[in-house]
Amino acid sequence: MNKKWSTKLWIAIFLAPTILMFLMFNLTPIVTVFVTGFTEWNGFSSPKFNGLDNYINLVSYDDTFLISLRNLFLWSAIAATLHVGFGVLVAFILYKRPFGWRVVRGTFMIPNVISVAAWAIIYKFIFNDDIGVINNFMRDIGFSDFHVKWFYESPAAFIAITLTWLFYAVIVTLIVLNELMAIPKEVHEAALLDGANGWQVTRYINLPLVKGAIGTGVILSITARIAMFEEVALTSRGGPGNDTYNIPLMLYNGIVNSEYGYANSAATVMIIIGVLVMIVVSRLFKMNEKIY
Amino acid sequence: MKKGSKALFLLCLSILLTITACSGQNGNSTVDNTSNGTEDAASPKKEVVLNIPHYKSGQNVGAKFFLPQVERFNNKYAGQYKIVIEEIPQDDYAAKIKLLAQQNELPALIEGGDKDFLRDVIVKGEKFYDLKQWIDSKPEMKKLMVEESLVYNTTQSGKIVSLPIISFSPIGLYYNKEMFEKAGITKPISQMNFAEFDEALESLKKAGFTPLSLMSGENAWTSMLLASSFLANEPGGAELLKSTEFSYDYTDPMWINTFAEIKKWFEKYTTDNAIGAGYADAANNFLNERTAIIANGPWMVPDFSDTTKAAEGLDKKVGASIYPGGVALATVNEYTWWIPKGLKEEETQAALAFLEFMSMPEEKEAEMVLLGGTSPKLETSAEFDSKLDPILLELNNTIKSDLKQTVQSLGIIWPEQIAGTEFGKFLPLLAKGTLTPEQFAEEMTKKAQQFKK
Repeated sequence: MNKKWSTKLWIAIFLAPTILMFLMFNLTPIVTVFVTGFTEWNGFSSPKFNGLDNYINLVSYDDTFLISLRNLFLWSAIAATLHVGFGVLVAFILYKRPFGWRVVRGTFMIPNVISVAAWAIIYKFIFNDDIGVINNFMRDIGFSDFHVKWFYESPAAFIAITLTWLFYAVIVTLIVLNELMAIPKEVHEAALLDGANGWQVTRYINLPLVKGAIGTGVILSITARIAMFEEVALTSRGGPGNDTYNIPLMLYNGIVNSEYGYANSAATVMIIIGVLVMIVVSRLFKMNEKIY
Repeated sequence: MKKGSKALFLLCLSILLTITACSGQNGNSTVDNTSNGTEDAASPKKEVVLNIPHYKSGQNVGAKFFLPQVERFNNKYAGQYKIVIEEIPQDDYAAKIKLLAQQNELPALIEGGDKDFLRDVIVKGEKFYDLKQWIDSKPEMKKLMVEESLVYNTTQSGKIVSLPIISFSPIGLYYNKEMFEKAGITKPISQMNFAEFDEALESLKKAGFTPLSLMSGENAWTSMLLASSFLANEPGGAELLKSTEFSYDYTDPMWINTFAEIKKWFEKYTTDNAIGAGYADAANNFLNERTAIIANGPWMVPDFSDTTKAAEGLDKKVGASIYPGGVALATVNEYTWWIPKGLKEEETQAALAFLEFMSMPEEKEAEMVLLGGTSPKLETSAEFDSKLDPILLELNNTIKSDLKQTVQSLGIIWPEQIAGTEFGKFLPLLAKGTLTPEQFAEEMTKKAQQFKK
């Protein structure tokens, strides 16, 4: 065997465990989800093909799907702008290495090591009418009749759920900060020699050079909204009424009602939306182009 | 080592690590050949250990009786059988059982579960251990069983799905006698009709008290109980609440009237925090004398004298009653403890031993003393009444004197989706007036019928 073939063989052998894992834990479940989305399946008996019934039920049974799509659109817009914007802003501030920046970076990380479920429960207390800090603060500063039932009124429930994740943008911050730190020193030096001021360096050099990282942040943030479950299920449960419903909750309802075909049709919709988001954002941010 | 050998070694290591990471030990029961963890070669004891996930543990109200009962069982059968309870939140129990069923990992003992799942999967698929032969071999135990429950648990082919009940706990309400006295209410609640009950609520309000502990969070338990009793007083309501089938349509006038009444209670007679309140909030309002009435089961009674939860001396002020119209809520038509099919023989025997232990007259009596309840066929000891908490005794006396009918709660005749989630989720919209009772009924109906089998 010549050396070239020997190298290829070793590459193939070393890739085999990863490919095996990918097939077992990624591809097979995705294919199963996709296929069983076209079946009637209670999880115990064999799935029975029922065509597009699950999708028709999902989309047209009542207004839940439309409300879920509306909520996803709004949450995605907020995630791509305010959430990512906040993360990027913090990254740019930390990049300047102000006093205590390491402490801030560490502190900013803390919410991410606490489970989302725990946060959701904490937020139920924060927004509680009797003992919650928000309502008590409002009453303390003079709004004595402030009794918003945050997770049980519209549109307060949507706002309250949004606030449970809006400012936890540390992943975006870390990605962007890492990219900022990777910008060669020479680029900045050349700009300064040409007379650029701090704002111009940020606007015309740093921002364009980290746009790929910002794009990654946008993808991660939007896909997190597509899959957002605990924040809704453990607080408003999609209510009041259907006002804060989302697709993961529809999937969950399918599961608790032993309608796995229906649940998997919802999962398929989530996967498709996720892939579309990745394609669109990649193109918008020209993430596949070389920067340097 | 040659380059190729090194590479092969690394490859094997990576595969080994992958496989190790993916593997795990599972299982819900074991046979322990040791006693107290010490190997005894001379006389090995084969103790069957059943690991049972259950919600009657930790802070759950049911834990007060259930955990000591398991302990008594373990002591009685020391060295032969042992039950180990794995704590699980009550809200997650049914989902956990379904998940374990899909993985073929069901524990040896299960109490009830998701209603649709039991009916469609376990009963239709005959995935339960048939208790008929075993029950027939225990005539002393069988004669204590409630006939209606025995019939409900018997399939068309004569198999018995789960342990028919011997005792049940009629659910009523508790009220603050001091507040009632100050409001000038003298007529017993159980002898009122709902028009008179509404007048009593108004009197309480005029006297400066908040009448009802209601809640819309979780499964809206206390609100749902009161609504059940109202529906039972509506024409056709009691028959509906006695049905063994789920109800999927809520557009009938009796439903609309019930939803209108709930709306009124939320608007006029409950606390500010009722919308969004969970059970803990509703109970806390009553226990700390912020409300005059709470609907709940007799298992709440120990809380009245628990000063870590209740105001000092509350137990002396609390009275117990069934609902207006002489209605009590109780469920005999439900699946209780069952054993899955296909266990090892020794596991099945251990599970049966526990079911028999739970059904012993002294255990049943102890349960009724602590958690309340009644057993139509069990002759209680002479000291039973004196052992009872005075509040439970009052409830029992009201049942004896004023009970006109016993019906199931709405939670039993509603499909899981409505009982567990949707009722509580839509309740704030009804209470706030965003939905009229008719619109609320339509929304509930739509939700109920989405997954109708």
